Formats: sequence, structure tokens, C-alpha cells
Amino acid sequence: MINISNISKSFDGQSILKNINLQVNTGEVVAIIGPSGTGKSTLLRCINFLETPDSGQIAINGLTIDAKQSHDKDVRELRKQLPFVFQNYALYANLSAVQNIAEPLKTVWKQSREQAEQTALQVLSDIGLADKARHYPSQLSGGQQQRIGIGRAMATQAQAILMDEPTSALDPEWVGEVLTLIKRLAEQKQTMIIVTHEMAFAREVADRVVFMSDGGIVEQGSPEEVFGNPKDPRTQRFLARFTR
Amino acid sequence: MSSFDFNYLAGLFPILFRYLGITLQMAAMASVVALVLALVLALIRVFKIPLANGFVVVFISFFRGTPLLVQLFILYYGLPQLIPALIGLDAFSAAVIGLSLHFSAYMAESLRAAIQAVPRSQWEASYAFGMTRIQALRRIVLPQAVRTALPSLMNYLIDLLKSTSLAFTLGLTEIMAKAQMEASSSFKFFESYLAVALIYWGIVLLSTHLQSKLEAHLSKAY
Repeated sequence: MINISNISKSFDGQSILKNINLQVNTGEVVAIIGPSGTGKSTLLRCINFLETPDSGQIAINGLTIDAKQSHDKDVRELRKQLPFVFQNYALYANLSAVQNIAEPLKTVWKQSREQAEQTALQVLSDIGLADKARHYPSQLSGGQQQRIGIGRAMATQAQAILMDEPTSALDPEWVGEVLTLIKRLAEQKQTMIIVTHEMAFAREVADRVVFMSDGGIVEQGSPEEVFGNPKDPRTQRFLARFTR
Repeated sequence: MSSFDFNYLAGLFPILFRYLGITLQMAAMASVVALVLALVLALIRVFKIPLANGFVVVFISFFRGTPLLVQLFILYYGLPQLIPALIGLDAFSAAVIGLSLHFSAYMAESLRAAIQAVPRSQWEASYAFGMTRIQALRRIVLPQAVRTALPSLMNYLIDLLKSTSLAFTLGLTEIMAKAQMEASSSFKFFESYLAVALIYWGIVLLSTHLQSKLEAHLSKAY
């Protein structure tokens, strides 16, 4: 469904992503793991053009965007289909929980105000935060904010959700509730690409694990293959630190 | 030496109040134009729109770098000599235009700073869901920036209100000019200028009160 081909990106002459190719199927949960500074987040940001790749193509359901000649309108359509969950939640600070979820529905998905708010309230009750509907982000815990960040993406009915280290900024006490929510989405066959440092979570939830190192995909496969029997020495070395 | 004439002072208020309308009208019109213009200037700076950006930098520098009185004189007495179309410009319009240009330069800078103080992640969170730049600005970034900029914008608006008194130098009869006329016919300068000072003070107190109400309302929100 999502076809990422030959994506390259460098910053200040330093190559961060080297010719990345990745296919994601409908309903598939792909976890991207690997050492820090290896380009995982940059790849995710390139997939919905928060960073414009230097070269390569992203295709999703008939829409193909070439990095070298991307039009704003196409980029917006791509982003509409690939909403993003941020490490630091990045909820709209001036909007309440329910408005945060309703906002993209109104401005991007052209839903009526009533319809958007109704959907948003439904999502809030889905994620167990119905009682926080009128709270502003600053009045919510990190875990609650990230659940709303995920709810904001869920509500759009987009093709797939991109998650950039959704639990990395959370206090340990809030990690569980966020992982539980993502797990539930996975069970509902929500297509997701998740950059994560939570190895146990990746192993349990992902259909496919992609190991990245030095700006490239080193190996990928089912969790059993990658975690159980890593082939590349770099994967072995990386995973050894978690299984000790 | 005459002593302070309280009755004369009290009698001045009804006379001056008749000219308050023109002062307030001038202030209101200039405030609206200045705010709109300031927003346009600030956005040109924020988005670094080619060519326009350089022009705005010079514009802001000039209007902040020269006295308002000089700007009003250039606009009203100077420019019509150069541009015949401006000969018909009346004092009221000239004052409104001059005040608008002058204060837009100041307000543009505080709006620009406030917009740039909104975290980058707020823009990204808007773009990441497919919003356009205008949608991100209007729905997410600007509401946050306005809250930050509000105290300084309100100060400029109060300053603008007081600066309408300079319009008397263009021959416009507003409360300052009327006070001066009364003073020179009665020779009661202290009472006359005290009366006009008290009126300005009263309006500013009222504005400050509204400002603190507005700020309290906005800070309650989030």
C-alpha cells in the first residue's frame, strides 16, 4: 500500500538516509528499530514530507510523489493519508482535547463542525479520555496527551499512521497506557509505521521489524526472525544490549 | 497671578467632550488599519517573502527610527508638493494614515516576535495532518501568538490614542487643539491643559481596565 523507493536525505553534506526502499502492506504494523542517530526518525519524517527527501519517491494508493518535483497540493494529500504521532505529542496548545482531534477533521477532511466534534468525542471515549474532552494539553499528563496525539491520527480514517518514538518522552509510569492503545490499534489491523526503542513492544506488536543502521536498512523480517535469529552482525550487536 | 480656577476647569469638560468624538474616531480607525497592516508586515517578515521582506525591513526601520511628528509633517505638508494627487488630502485622513503607518511598524515587530516564539512543533503538527500554511497560521499559530503579543499590542494602542493629540499640528480640531484654543483665549493654561490631560488619562484607565480583563480571559483559556 505504501511504497517507499530510493529515498535519500542529507543534512549539511552529511548523508543521513542512503537509498531507502520499504513496502508496507495494508493492515501491517512495521516497527523500525536501530541505534540512535541512524536516521529512523528522519525516514519517518521523509515519508510524509515533514522533511523533503533529496531524492526518491513515496507512493500511496495511486498517489506518487517524487522528491525532486513535489507539488504542495500532492504533499498535503499525502500527509492527509499519513498522519503523524510525535515524540513530544505536539498537541495544538490553544485547543482542548476534543478540539485537537476535531481540528484536522474540520480543516483538512472538510467535515462539518458538528460531525467533527462528534467523531472526536467518540474517539476520546474510545481511548478512555471522555472526561478530559474540555481540558487543554497543559492540563493533561504526558500519557494522556500522547493518547490524544494518537486519537488525533485515529480519527482521520487515514490510510496509515506514522509514529515517531511515541513513548520516548514519557515518564515510565505513562508508557504502559500508550503502548496498550497502540497494541489495540494493531489488533484492529490499523496500518502503522512505528519508530521505537521499546524492543519488547516491537517484538510483540509488529508484523515486521526493520532494523536500520548508518542510514540504511540492514535487515528486516518477522519479529521472530529479527529478534530470534538476527543475521547481520550490526543487528546482533544492537540486540545483544537488550537481551543481556 | 491668578489662582487655580476650579469652576473654569469644570466648565471646560463639556466643551472638550464635544471634540472627543473626533479623537476617538481617529484612534479607532488608525488602530484597525495599524493592526491589519502590522499583521501583513509581520507575515512578510516571518515567511521572508522575497523582495517584500527587504522593503518591510526598511519600512519598519524608517517608521521606528523617525519621530511621529516629522512623519505627519512629511505626509501632510511635504508629500503634496511632490505628488499633486495628495493636495486634497484632509488633515483627518493624513493623521489616520500617519498614525497607522507609524504604529504598524512597532506592532509588526511584536507580532513577528510572538509568531516566531510559537514552537516549531506547532507548525509541524499542523502540516503533518495536511493543513496549508494559511490554515496552520490561522487556526493554530496565530491564536497562540496573539496571546503572547497582546500586552505589548495594547500598550501600542494606548500610545496611539495619546498620539492623536499630535494631529492638532495639522490643523485638526480635536480635544488637544480645542484645549489650546481655550487656553489662549482665557489665558488659563494650567486648567486647560489639565482638563485635556485628565480626559486622556480617563480613557487610558478605561482601556487598561479592558486590557486586564481581556488578558485574564485569554490566560484562563489554556
